[in-house]
Amino acid sequence: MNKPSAIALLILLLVSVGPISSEPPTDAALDAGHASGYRGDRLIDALGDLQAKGMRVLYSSDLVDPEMMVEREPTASSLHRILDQLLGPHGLGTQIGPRGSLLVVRRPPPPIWVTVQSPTVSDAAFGEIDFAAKVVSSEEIDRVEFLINDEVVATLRQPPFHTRVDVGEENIAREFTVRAIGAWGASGTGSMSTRRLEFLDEFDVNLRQVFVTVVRPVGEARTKLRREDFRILDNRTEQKLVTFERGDVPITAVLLLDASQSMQGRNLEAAVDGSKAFLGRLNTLDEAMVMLFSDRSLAATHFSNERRPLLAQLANTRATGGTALNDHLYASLKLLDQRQGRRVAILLSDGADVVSALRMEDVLWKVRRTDALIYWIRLQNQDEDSFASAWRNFEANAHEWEGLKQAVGESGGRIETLSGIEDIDQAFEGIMSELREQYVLGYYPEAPENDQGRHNIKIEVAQPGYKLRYREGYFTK
Amino acid sequence: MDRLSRTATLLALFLMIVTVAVGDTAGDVSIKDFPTQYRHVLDLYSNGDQEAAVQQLVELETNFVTKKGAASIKPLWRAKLHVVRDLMTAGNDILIPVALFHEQAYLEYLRRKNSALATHSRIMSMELVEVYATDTEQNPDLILASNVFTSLAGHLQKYYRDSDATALYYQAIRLHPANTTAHLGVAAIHERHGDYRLAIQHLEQLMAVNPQCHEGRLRLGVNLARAARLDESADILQPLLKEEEPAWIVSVAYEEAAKVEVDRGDLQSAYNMLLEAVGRFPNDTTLPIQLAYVADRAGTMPDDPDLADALRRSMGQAISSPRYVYSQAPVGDLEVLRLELRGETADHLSALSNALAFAPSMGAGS
Repeated sequence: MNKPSAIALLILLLVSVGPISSEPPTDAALDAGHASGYRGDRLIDALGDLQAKGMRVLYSSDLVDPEMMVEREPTASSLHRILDQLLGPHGLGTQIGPRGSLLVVRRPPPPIWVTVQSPTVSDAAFGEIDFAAKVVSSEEIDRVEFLINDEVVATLRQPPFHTRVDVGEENIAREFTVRAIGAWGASGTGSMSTRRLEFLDEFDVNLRQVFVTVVRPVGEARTKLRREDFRILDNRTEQKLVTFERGDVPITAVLLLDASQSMQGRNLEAAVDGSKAFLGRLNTLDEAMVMLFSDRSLAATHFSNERRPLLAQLANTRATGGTALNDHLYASLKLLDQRQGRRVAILLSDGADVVSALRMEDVLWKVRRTDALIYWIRLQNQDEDSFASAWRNFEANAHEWEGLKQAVGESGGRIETLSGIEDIDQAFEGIMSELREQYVLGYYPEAPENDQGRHNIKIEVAQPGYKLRYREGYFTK
Repeated sequence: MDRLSRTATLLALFLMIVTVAVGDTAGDVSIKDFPTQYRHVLDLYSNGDQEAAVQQLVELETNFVTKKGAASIKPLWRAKLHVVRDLMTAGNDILIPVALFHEQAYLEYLRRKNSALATHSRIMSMELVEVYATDTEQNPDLILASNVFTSLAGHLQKYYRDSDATALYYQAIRLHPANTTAHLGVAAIHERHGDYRLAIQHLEQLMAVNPQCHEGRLRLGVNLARAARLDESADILQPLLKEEEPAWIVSVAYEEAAKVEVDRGDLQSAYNMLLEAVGRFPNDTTLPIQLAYVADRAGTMPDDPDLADALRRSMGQAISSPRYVYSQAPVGDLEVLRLELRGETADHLSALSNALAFAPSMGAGS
C-alpha cells in the first residue's frame, strides 16, 4: 500500500470503527430493524448506514470513491449479503479484518463458471449436434453466447443453455466455446475442442506400444534397424511383435512451461522462443497443447495442430508466483490420457515443486499407469535442490527433486540439462528429432485374465554397443 | 511516567551507550554535527514526512560510514543514543516512533544491500523497544512493544533471517502471550524447517488464547497431518470447511482435508470433499487437479468438472493460489498489525514531535 492510501486507511480506521467488542455481531442481531432503500444513494452513505446498524465495516477512500453510486437496490435480507450486493458492482468485496471487522477490498468480478457439456472431447463432430453448457454464477446472467470456431451461432438469455446446430460434414477439428456474460459485467468462458478422425482411431486398445529411443555409439553412422533386430520381453516372457514403426507415428504433446517468479527475464523469454520453434516443427498429424503454470495455471490451450492459437498463449507471458510443478505435470499426463497418438509431456522448468497439493509420489503413480513420455528441459538454478518452504523442508524438497528425475526416467523420456538459456532451441530440436526417430514396437501382452499389477519390460537389440531407452514397465488396471 | 521508572529507563539506555562505547576505535573522529542532523531527520519523521526522513537518515549514515569506515558505526550509534536520551526527558513514549523509524531504515538498508548499517538499525530498533518494555507494567504498553517486535520479526522472516526472527517472536510472545501474529510467525518458521512438533506446540498455544483463529487452525491441521496424527488433523480441518472466509484458508483446508482422507484410505470422502470445493471455488486450479487425481486413483469416479476447462477458467487471474499465500507466511495479519500499529502510535509520534521542539540538546559528550 502506498503512503497516502495507508494514511487514508489509517484515518478511516480511526474514524469509522465503532466500539470493538470481543465477538462480531450475528447476522440476526444486525438484521433487526433493517430497512433498505439504497438505490440512488452514494455508496459511501450506504456503508455509513450499515455502520450505524452495527456492522464494523472498514474501508479506504482509495477504494470507496465518494462518487460511487448504488445503482441496484439490494435484494438480500441479511446485512452481510446486502453489503456484498452494494460492493459487488464496483468490483469490491470484503474480507475479515482486525477483530472480526469487515475490510473492504478490491475483488475481481464474481466468477461465472461455464462448462461445455456437449459435444464432449472424445467426439468428432459432424452434422446436426447438441451444443449445451452448464453455467454456474452467483450473479444474474445477462446472456449466454454459443460460438463455433470463434463465430457466434446462438445466443440464449435463460436456462436451459442448450441448442442444436449444424456443423457440416467436413472432417476437421472444431472449437466449441460458450461465453456467459453477467448482469454486472463479469464473464466466464468454457470451451471444448472436437477432433478430426485419424487413422490411429482404429488401433486395438489391447495393443501395448513401447517407444524406443536408440542411442548409437559415438561416431557410428545412422542405420535403420529392422523388426528382427529387436527382442521384447514382458515379465520375462518373449513377445511377438505385431506392429513395428519408426518415426511417423503422430505426436500429441503438452508443452508445460514454468512461468514462476524464478523464470523471470531472459529464462522465460528463451523458453517462449524455444517453444515457438518447437510448435513450428509439428507435422500435419501432430497436435499440441500449451500449458503455462506458476503456483496456478496461467494458460492452457486446447490441443491443436494450428500454431496460431497455441502461440497466442505464449504472447505477453509474465513470470509470477511459486511453482506447482507436481500438480501441472500430473494434469498434463491426465489430459494426455484422453488423446490419441504418441503422448509426450515436455516440461521446461528451472526448479522443483514448491506449492503443489500433489506429491511427486502421486505423479509417479500416474507415470506408471500411462504411456506418455516425459522430457524435462532443465534450466540450471542454484537453489534448485536445496530450499525449504512452508510446504516442505530441505529434506522433503530434495526427495521431491529425486522423484522428478525418477518420473522422467521411468516414463522413457530424458532430462536435458541446459548450461545456458541459449541452448533451449537446440534442446527442443533435439527432442523433436529424437521423437521422429523413435521406434514404436507393438505387441499383445500375454497375461492371465485377472492380471493386476506391474509388468516389467525388457527390450534387447542385436547391434552391439547400442543403448536403448524406453519405459521399463507398466501397471495393468 | 513517574520519576523512578524514568530513572530506570535512562539507566538502561546508559547501559546501552556504555556497551557500544567499548572498543570504540574511531574515537578521534569528529561527529559533532551528527546529533543536529539526526534531530532534523527525526523531526521530519515525526511530522509525517516519513519516507523523506528515512532516505535522509540512510544517506547521512551511509556517507558517514563510507568516509570513516565500518568502525565509525559505534560512535554513530553512541551519538544517536545521546539524542534519544535527551529526548526522553519528555517521556519514554518517544522510544516507539524512534524504534519504528529505525525499522524502516533497516528495510531501506536491506534494499541497498548495506548489511552493516542494516544490522545496526535493526538492533537499535530492538533495543529501544526493549528499554520501553522494561520500564512499564502497563498492559497496553507491553502489547504495543510486542507488536513492534512482531513487525520487525516479520521483516526478518521475509528475508529468511529465521533465527533472529524466531528470537524476536519469542520476545513478542513473552510480552503479550496472546499475540496471534507472533504465534503464527514462529510456527511458520518451525514448519519451514520441518520442526513439526514445535510448530504444533506453538499452534496449540495459539488455540488456547485464540481458538477462533482460522489460520492457526489450518496450520495446526496441516502440521498434525505431517506428524502422522491424521485423525486429529481431520478433526481440526473439517470444521474449517463450513466457514465462508477467508477463502484462501477454506480452500487450502479442503485440499489438506482431502489429502488426509486419501492417506486414511477413504477416496470416496476425499472425492466428495473436492467435488464440493470445486463448486465453491470454481476459479481455483489446484482443486480440480487434486479431484482428477483422486478420481483417477479410485478408478470408478467421474472427473467433474472437466479438467482442461477448469484450468482455463482461471486464466489471466492475478490472484495467487491459496497454497502460495500459505507459503508466504506470516500472512495478512502482519499487514493488519502494522496498520494498527500506526494508529496506536500516533500519540507517541506527537510526543516525539513535542520532545524535539522542547527537549534540550545536551550534545554527544554530556
